[in-house]
Amino acid sequence: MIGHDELRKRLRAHDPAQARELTPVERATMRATILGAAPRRSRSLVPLVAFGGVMAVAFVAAIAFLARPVTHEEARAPLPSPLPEPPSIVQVEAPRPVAVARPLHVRRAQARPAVLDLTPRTTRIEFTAPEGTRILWFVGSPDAKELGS
Amino acid sequence: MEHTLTFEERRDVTSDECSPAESIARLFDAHHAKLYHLALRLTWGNDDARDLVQECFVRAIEHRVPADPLAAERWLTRVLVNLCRDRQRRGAVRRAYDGVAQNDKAATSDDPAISAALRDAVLSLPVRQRAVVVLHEIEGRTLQEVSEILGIAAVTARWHLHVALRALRKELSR
Repeated sequence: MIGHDELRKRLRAHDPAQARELTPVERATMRATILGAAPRRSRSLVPLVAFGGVMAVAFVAAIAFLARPVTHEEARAPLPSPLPEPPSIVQVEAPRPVAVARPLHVRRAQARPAVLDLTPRTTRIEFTAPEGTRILWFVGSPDAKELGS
Repeated sequence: MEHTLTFEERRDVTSDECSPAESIARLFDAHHAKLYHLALRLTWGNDDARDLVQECFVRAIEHRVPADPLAAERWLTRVLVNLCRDRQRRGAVRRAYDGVAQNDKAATSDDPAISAALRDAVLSLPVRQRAVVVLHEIEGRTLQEVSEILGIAAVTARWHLHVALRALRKELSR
């Protein structure tokens, strides 16, 4: 294994930067490129100062608002009523489902009861003849209806 | 070996009195040669070195470089090393090196075989270890300076140097 001094000697003997410089063209090109990327004017402090001023004014206004004396009316003002207590939670047992017998399917026309209007408005007229008796019912309407004989 | 800052260069290159373009121009004039050499030693490729130097100064535009020339130089050196690390992570250095290395052989060495072996050994190191080796062994900076430049503890820099030299000796003894 080579020694430290020998290694250092080799490193310096084979220095890649030995007698190497940027050519004037390279140097000028690089310089122009870098200067082209540099801003022409110095950075202005105006926006920073303006922002600082606005923040300072806001800070002072906030401090003044918080530190203002409380007026008499404000001190007397009743405190806002506390919120109503929420209703107590009651454990309600859920109703058990009841088995309901399903009704038989009937047609609506059949399910409707027969309506026989027997209101006192009806008028009964009997005709008796040798052949028999004929009864006429007048059921609250101008039309006479013969129900039986 | 390394060029030291002259009185003119020691002026405040990033003072607020001049515009950003002038500041960057002064910064470039003062430090581009040293950064280019460092980039060459880190990448062993001319194109990569130029790209790194240019990107380094573009970073200097985007960020506030310390006003003190020495601090600015250290800042730029650290940025260059970090950029080199980023490039290696992306694999760009390896791809570019494959194309450039053949052109650089004749220019950097009398014995191409030794130079190629040394180049391979140096490029096989992690960038931070490579930077410590370059800054300490080739540029002759103290480990304290190296640690300040790279932003690491002096003990860490010493450890990086130890590991890197051991790896290089092992690699070159084959």
